[in-house]
Amino acid sequence: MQLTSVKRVHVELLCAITAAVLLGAMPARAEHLEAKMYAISDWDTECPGGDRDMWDDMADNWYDEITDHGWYHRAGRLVNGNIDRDIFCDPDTGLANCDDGSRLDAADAAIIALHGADSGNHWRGSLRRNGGASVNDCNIDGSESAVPNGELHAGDVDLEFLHLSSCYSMDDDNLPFTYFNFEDAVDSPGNGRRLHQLDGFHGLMWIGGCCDDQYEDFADDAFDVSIKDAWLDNMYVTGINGSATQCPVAYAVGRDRNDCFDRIDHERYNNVRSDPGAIGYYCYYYYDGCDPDGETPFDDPN
Amino acid sequence: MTMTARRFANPALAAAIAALTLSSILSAQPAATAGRTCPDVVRLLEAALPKEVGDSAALGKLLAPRVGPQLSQTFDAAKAAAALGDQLTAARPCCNEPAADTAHKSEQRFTGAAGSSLENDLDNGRITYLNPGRSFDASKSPDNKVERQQALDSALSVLRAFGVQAAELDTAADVRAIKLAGRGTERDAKPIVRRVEVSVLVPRRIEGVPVFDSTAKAVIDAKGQVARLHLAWPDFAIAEGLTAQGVRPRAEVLRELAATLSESDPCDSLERIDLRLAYVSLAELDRDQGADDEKEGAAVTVPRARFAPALVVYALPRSVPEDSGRLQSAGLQIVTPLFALPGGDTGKPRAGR
Repeated sequence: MQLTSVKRVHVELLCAITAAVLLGAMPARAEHLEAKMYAISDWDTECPGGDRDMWDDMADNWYDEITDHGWYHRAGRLVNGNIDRDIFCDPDTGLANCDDGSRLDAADAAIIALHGADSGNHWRGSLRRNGGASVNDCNIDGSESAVPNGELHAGDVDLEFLHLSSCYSMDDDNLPFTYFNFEDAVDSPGNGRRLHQLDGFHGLMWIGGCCDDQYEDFADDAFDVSIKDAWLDNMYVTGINGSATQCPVAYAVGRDRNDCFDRIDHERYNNVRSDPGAIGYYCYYYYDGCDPDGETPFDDPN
Repeated sequence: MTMTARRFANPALAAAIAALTLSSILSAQPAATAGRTCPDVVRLLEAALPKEVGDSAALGKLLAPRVGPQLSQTFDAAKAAAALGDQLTAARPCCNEPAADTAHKSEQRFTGAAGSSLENDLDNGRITYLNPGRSFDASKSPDNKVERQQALDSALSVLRAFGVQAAELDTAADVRAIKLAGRGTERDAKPIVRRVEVSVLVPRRIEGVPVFDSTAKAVIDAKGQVARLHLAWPDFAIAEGLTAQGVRPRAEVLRELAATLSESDPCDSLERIDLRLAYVSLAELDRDQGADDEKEGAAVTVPRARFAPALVVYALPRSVPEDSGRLQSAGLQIVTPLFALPGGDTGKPRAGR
């Protein structure tokens, strides 16, 4: 097959006209969406955890790339420092100091990079600060039931896409409960705002040179193909001789089956549907039988 | 060279030598890390260290692999497009982009009418093909019935057409189905599970030795076509200046790894350490240098296409009981060279920046 080549002068003219039209017609759209990044690479005695120097670099790769396409702007980058529960938990849980509405949930797309654990039927993230005496909690707990239970209830303010660069953030046995993270049962029914997609890992994930390019490529690809395709393609890693397999999972919700499938199949960073009007269905893509460290092979819980 | 206990038939002698080795490693710690090296980490490293480490005769053989023509010489976008079965048009630079950027063969972008794109960055060995029109769409796509071998054959055929040397394709490719599952939150209806695509992940080897972080990932649709392809296959050449005389002593490699891993994780917190011999790019081994150069506004001097025999280290934290909520640190992957690198850098193990 011969590749065709279009005459340069015509294309440049077309480009100039298109750019002028776009700039004139929708100036407000330029970088109108917010991206945020939260990463911990260095834990200390207040809250324990093995140091992973490269984790923030990996998250930076995502943050730099998603904000390099003219759709999202850099709305917040927090590395180490005082990352505590306040940033991620919803005030309708009734827990002290929860303020996700002005932090995590104020973004349109966000990444959280920190150690994680499998706690009951939900993911638990390991924070850097315990929040002081009134909080005294080194974890952010995902939700496996509606508020006031759980801590992470995102999307009721703004957030659409949340990526968890964290172990056990999408463990197979937790999937029937993961949709509780997608709304705040107090506010979402009234304001109609909910999270669209949550991406994470079944079992352990890896930090190192193995995996840093994947974060940039994920963000880049997610403007051209669905976010779930970009997540699954780029985060599925097998190390040398089968070491260090990562098992990505992409998860969405919808009013019903068709709504859920439509969202997860078609939403890109530059193709954002309106918020789900209700959560009646959950759906997810995964690598069949994917066998990470720290967990048994992925076994569909349904 | 330090020999491991595994090489001795006499258990008592082996134990004595192991104790001596451990003792010499612990006592030889640099001041900066004194007291921080975990004995359990040293023991895990000792048990996992490949016998070739520190062996100049064995490692010297890795300095002259036979390598065929590389991607920057063999890649032909027209042949690639034909193998993909896609009508692709060379994209021209738009507006503020200088023409030379895309006219240069090493960095090109082609697009198809249905939204597909083929981008190559041959200086970095990266080629990406994305065809959203071939991605699974639950509303209209059939289940994917492509068998393992058919998916593998499709992927390998396209890779060869892209110009990848057949001898570099690891025959132990990972082929795995991607599935979609869904269920109503009321759990009153039967769940749906569909087999949607087949992923083929092909690692790279040069004369049997793995090349770290160099893989081809292809996703095969229900028609057996490549829907997406991610190729990380930088040109391969051994770094200049590496000699068998420059093999780093086994004890030195072990000591540095032990110090690095002991800094990252508390003692007695690792369950396993896997050590793999591989070719690793100088850019990966010496990322610090590259990062500094970038900050100073100069060109990055560490070439991605130059490789050195190295160890790839996978440190696996101790497992915790399922559902327990107990902290589990993420896996840690680092690399360290097995030769003194050009420029006198012995290559401190890299656990990040």
